Amino acid sequence: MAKIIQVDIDKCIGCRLCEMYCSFVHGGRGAVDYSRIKVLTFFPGVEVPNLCFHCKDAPCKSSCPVSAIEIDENFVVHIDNQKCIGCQKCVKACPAEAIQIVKGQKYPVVCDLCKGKPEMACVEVCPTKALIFQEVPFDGSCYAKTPKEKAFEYCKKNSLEFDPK
Amino acid sequence: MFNVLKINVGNNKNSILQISHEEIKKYLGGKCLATKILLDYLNPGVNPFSEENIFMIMGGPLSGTIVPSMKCSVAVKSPLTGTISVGFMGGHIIKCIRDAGYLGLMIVGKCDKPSYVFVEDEEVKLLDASKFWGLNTFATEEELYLRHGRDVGIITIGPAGENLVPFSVVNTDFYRQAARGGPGSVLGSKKIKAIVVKGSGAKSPPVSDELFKLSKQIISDINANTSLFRFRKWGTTGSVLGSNSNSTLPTQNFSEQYFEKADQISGERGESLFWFKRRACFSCPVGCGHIGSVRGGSFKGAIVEGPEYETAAIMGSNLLIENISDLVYLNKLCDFWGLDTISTGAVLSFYAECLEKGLVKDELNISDNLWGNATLFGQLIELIAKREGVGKLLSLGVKEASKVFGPQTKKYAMHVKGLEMPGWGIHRAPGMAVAYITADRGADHQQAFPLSFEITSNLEKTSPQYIEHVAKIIFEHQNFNAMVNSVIGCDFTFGAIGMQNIIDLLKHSTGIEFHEGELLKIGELCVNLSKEFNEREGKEFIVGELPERYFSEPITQGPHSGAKIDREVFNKIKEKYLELRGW
Repeated sequence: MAKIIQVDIDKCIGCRLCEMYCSFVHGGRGAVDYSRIKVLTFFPGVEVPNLCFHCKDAPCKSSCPVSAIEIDENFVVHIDNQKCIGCQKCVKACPAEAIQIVKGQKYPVVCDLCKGKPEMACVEVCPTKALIFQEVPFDGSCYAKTPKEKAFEYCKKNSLEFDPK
Repeated sequence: MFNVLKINVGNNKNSILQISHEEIKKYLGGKCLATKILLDYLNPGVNPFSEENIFMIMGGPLSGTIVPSMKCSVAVKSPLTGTISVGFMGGHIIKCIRDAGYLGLMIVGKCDKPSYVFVEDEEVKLLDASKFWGLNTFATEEELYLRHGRDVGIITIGPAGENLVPFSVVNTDFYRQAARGGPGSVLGSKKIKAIVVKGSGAKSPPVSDELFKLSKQIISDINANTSLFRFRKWGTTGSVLGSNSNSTLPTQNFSEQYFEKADQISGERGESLFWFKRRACFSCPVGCGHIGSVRGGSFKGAIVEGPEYETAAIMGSNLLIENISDLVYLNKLCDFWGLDTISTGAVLSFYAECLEKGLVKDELNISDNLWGNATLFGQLIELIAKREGVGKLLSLGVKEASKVFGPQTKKYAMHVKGLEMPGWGIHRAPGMAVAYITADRGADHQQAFPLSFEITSNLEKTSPQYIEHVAKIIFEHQNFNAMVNSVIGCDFTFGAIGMQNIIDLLKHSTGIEFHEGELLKIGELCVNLSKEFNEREGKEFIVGELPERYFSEPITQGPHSGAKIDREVFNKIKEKYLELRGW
């Protein structure tokens, strides 16, 4: 079992308040670039809130040439800026595309579950409970998908055309 | 201090227009600031399709910030009306513009070949768009996401905008538009297919703890507000049944205001048959947009966010469309080609009535059977967007089209100042008629809404109390809404946020203190600036004319059968209004 943020695409209305509040909590601004959660829009109007999947056998960790990435017992990814050389290999390795680069900053950032605070900024602000922080059965193995894969699955489930014609 | 980025797409020279604190204190932002800029930078008589015309996206001080439910404005000199036209949409592009360090963007000049504008912080590029020219709005947006990543804000135009249809839209987040008055065609005349903005946030204003706390509180207030419940459930389309029972639902080219099959095009119908997911404007916790997909029949697979009330009225009852699948199909086509659903619907109903009455040549061999036929209307929409066949004439809008078709059709061209009538019928509401003729860009339902008072009031319409009160409502609504549109708030959530909160939010985010009276004065100033702009174009642009039909042909269906506008009452409200304005 693990307590992580679960995303329900069906409920997401694409308001992006989660981005704004994450970015304030982590960067002191309401700027999307500072946010560790990104809401990505796909045709035909499907929004996918995207953030770290907290996989224990994480490709980001194994991709790091200087062992700057550790995964703790709560499945939170820690990037050690003392060790990080800013090569961005983890950004490319992440199967969820969830590790972000803030323009002008050397080190990548990723969801830290608000550093153990009882309320996650994104979860708290979400008006439709599309983001829920809860215990899920989880063995830590990597099951991440790209936002595009998730949008595609959603469209398939609802028999929606994925490509605009 | 705010910056507005001015991009000349003709010579690729860019400059910054600085907006001082004093100017914010005086003009606030959004509609009022955009109007002031257009007034200062455009010479009178400028051809809307010339390189001088300005296409502007302008935010307010709160747009694109951590404050919830704020929108952005799109301002141009309209090719449809020749007046100023400022529209509003809730796209997340304004967030990206603010993150890039600007309050707004201005596009001037004209390119030689199809291009799109790419802005990333200080960097501005004019990129080749020949690959996208001719492409529909959805595909263009998707292609640009693929090219630039999905953390950009995009506005696009469709083929209708490229072909300079004067009621074409700019489209964003797939289904959101600034639609009325043809901003898409102004961008099209500059050969600009899209604007893509990426902002790093390095220059976005820091957020104070007070601003954060208050914004968070407002989100809770909006979530708890019971009057917004119906917007979550049915969106604006939830108004169809009420409008119909009040006989304000335009039907059959605005000749009637009651539609027997209204329940078939209502929000309730959308909920049970069609919608599968809600969608919100940027930063709005309400999410009054609903997205749905047609599950069977001839138009299976058509997806759209909507229909909204206006579309349900003008492309539904007004065209005698009797089921929601057909309506959704027509709505989708308009979004796809980049057309305003209101103006397009009114053009189609105009053509259907002229055809029925045998006033125009039947070029498509439709016979008189156009009413309610979504397939034929769909073909006409395509012809309008492409400006082919009869679509070439219809694409001029009802005012100009009726001139070409001949004087016998003038009576059926339903517009004010060239802008087609929107979805609130006025046979029972002479004050609403005055609101339409005095709105800066013609028949616009968003500037004043005395209608709800008029259809519930027990006062005799001919009484001085009624006339005075209604004139005052129009005056006050116009000022208030111009102020809301300068903040830029949303018509639906502004009440839930409340005036005191807006004042505090403005203080926390700009450091400027406003009093309620000052804000309303800015609204009034905005109305007067628009009037000044229109007056320079000619006296006839200040107050428009109401289609004759509303005075002479009463409605014959529904509970309010027999209602028509009393010319004397109408004139008295108009005079009283002009007196209040001092125009």
